[in-house]
Amino acid sequence: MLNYIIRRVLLAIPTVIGVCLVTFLLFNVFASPEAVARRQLGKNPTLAQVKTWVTVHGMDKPMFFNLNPGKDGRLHPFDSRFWNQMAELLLFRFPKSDYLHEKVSDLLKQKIGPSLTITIPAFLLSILITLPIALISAYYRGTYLDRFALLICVVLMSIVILNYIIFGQYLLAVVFKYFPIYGYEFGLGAWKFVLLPVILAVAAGLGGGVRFYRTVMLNEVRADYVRTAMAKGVSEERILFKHVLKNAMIPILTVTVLSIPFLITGSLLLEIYFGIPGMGNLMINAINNADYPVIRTLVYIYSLLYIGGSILTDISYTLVDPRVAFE
Amino acid sequence: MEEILKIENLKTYFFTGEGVGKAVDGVSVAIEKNKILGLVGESGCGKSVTALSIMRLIPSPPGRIVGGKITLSGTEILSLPEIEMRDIRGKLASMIFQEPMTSLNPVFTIGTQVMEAVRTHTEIGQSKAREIAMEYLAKVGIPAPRERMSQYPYQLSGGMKQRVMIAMALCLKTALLNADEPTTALDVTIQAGILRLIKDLQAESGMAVLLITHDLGVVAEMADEVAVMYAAKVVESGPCETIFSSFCHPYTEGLFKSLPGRTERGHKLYTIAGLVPSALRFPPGCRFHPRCPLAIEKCRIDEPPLVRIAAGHRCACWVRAGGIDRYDA
Amino acid sequence: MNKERTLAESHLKIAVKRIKKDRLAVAGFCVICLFALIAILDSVPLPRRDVGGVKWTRTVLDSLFQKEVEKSYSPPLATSGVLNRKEFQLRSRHLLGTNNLGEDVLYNALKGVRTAFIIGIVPSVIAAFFAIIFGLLAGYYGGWIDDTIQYIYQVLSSIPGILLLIAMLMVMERGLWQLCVALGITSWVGLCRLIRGETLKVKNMEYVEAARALGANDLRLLFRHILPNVMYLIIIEMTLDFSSLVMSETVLTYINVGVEPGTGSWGQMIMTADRELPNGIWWNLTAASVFLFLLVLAFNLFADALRDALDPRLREA
Repeated sequence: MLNYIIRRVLLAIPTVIGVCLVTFLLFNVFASPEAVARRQLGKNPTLAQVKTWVTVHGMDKPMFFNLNPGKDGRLHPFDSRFWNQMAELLLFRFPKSDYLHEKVSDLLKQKIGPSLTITIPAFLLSILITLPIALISAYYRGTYLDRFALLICVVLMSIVILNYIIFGQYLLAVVFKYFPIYGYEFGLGAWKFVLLPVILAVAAGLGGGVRFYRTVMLNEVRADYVRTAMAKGVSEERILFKHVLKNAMIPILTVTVLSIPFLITGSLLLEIYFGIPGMGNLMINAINNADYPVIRTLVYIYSLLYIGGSILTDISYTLVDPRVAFE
Repeated sequence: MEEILKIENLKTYFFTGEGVGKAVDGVSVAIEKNKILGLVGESGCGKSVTALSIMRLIPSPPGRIVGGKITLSGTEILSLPEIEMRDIRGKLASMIFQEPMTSLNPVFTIGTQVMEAVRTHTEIGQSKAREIAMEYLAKVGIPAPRERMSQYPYQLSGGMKQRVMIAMALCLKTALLNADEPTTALDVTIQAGILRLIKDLQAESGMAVLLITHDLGVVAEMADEVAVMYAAKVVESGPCETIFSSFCHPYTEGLFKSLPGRTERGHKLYTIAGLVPSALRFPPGCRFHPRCPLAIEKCRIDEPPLVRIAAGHRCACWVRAGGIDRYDA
Repeated sequence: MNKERTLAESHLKIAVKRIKKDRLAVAGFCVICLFALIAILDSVPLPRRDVGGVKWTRTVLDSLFQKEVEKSYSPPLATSGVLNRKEFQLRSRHLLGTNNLGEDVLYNALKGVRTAFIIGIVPSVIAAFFAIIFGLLAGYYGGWIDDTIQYIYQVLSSIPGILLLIAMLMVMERGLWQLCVALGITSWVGLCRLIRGETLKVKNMEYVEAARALGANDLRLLFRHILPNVMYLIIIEMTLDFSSLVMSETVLTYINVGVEPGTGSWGQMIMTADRELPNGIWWNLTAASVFLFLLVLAFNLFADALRDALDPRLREA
């Protein structure tokens, strides 16, 4: 198993490098260092201020290869923007935020917690609710109950998540005052601020989730091995909960396990709306303030999470599908 | 002798976007205890659908049993609610399916699946069930059954998967066994073993067998009675020797003439002219008439009924069985 | 070749028949047509008129639905509105009320239809373009071409979509068509994977071998023989994506990444409207939400039926 993981990680390195390259190109090629400096320095900076900013942030170095001798008279060809930034990321020595003046690693430590207080409960609750509903729907497939449930799912899916959040917040927090409208508290008191966002997150995902799981199960229900089990006289319940469910786990796991690493990145909309100081908030603010160091780091982390997620998914297959081995 | 299975005027249709496919359109056969009925015909003539109809395993959105009566050991099964049907399947009737590659559950071991068959309608404990499962795996000729029990379907060849399916069906020891092309995927030697096994089990328990096949050799060896199907209907039926020695229907004749052994060396192989019609659009009158060398005007207009031409021998043909002594269901 | 064309036609006819059976899908289709009509009306320009020295284009829709601008908010079907706590008389009836600028809400919502259709279709077309080229090439040629293309889309899918989108929009300016291009370029990967998979399956089939034996060159094989068989995947994906594209426009506009202010879009309406709810002004937000919901629901119902109808597994009776 360890060999497999090591091999996958090694294979992923070119992809990560590719990601860093693309991000670098996107954010460094299209905006000059001076423009970035001006953005960060606010109103009417002097030329000197701009120059200092650029030097301090290492943006005066050439893009890829440095052919000028350094202060010590020797050539440091890799002392360039690209290689310096790459080194920071690959060695996990994350830079400082342009806008917030804190080290990105510190920011991450602060922000991951709040994001997780929403994403983890939402994830677990979602599965606990949608999977059984989908199973029941598959059991009663073809009946009016099932078709009605399916219609409800499509209706729920057709409501934009913004509507869930806006109306949910308005009705439940402003009008009925069941929940606080906005804000966050670190520590145990967080639960009251987190409850409404979690409920809305689960509600918004309900339609799509139930429909997806139901489709997966119904795909299996039409398989030949179900016919064989029926010919043996096996009960409908046993067929559904043993035969079908185990086979359905394969596509279900693909989707669920792949999303686990992204629990860290938080939900953009929920955090903005409810004032949760999490990773989503960090990302959105970095974007609005053109805070490149933060954006760079977040993209890097995101790609690591994606790769980690797909490795996890493949490993999870081996647990449910006997045909898959660690080849 | 006691009739285990009696099918009367069975009609199973498939309602699709392109029209109604009449897969089985008025089939009547019967099988007595301890007898084997060979159901022969080309692919698409409705043999498998007949067996699936007996088990009521017709996929229900497109398909539906629209008419007829099926009596199994005295119980009329088409009107039974689904829950009671579960008591029939695996207990009164069992089935061997045609597609071994997909008919086994890929995520469970062979052992689990065969043991499930053993234990579904009985009170047999796990260890005893394991023994019985291994016994049957050995009976169908699977080498090293103990190791196979903990293997998964993907580790078995097509032929072995088929034998597992056969073991699963046989260990249920039902009154009726529906065998849909059970030996098609197997070598001749294994085939002989399986067929012998079925006959042995039959001797033990008096099982009735519906043997679906396109292999006339298997029919000759195994079947007591034969029914020939064409285009969703039975066109000829009777005792095996009678059909083989004095067949009546032109289609049956064509089937026999197509056997390679019947043609002299150096001559072209005989084939029945034309193609099997689609179940969506059967020709009017006798469904075989477009391909029949004996077709007369009447054949194009009216469907010939299945009539008795000799003891136990029925045929549906205007030319060869002119309509005397109508067989009534 | 002709045989393939007639085969495709008969598949189409079967698909249409299947869809007709699903009444909800048919209802959805009618709603889509209604909305499409509105979008078309909004795309047909009337001869320009100079209004007070300012040239601007009016469309047929404008001539039908545009109302006089009031001073400020007013509820639906009201006769008067309130501005700075003072009541003012309305110049005309507004079915769905007016927004903070006094614009007719119904008119604004109708103007958003065309934007929605553009956002729902154009990115898909762009994405399909890339997906087809890369998918066919990767699946057909294999080898280093396949490896390169797979590497490209692995890298692309590892970058969060939002960031790619924003980066692209920083390069181009904000705007409806720029958003379409950006959305298209960031979303071709999924369809590309599907097409590549299908090409791999199809390229070894007999009729392709036969065509090759008859002397067809690669390009001809790709476009005349393989592409038609992959078409159904593309159609299904495009109709399924319509809803998510329209919905994502609203979200993106909300976080300031979408269309520029001033373009009629439901996202714009929702963005400005959510501040209004606490003040008891519900009609602006609701109008946009309802229009959005109806169009998305209609497409979802229709797309599902279309997917089931085109499913090759259900083709054989």
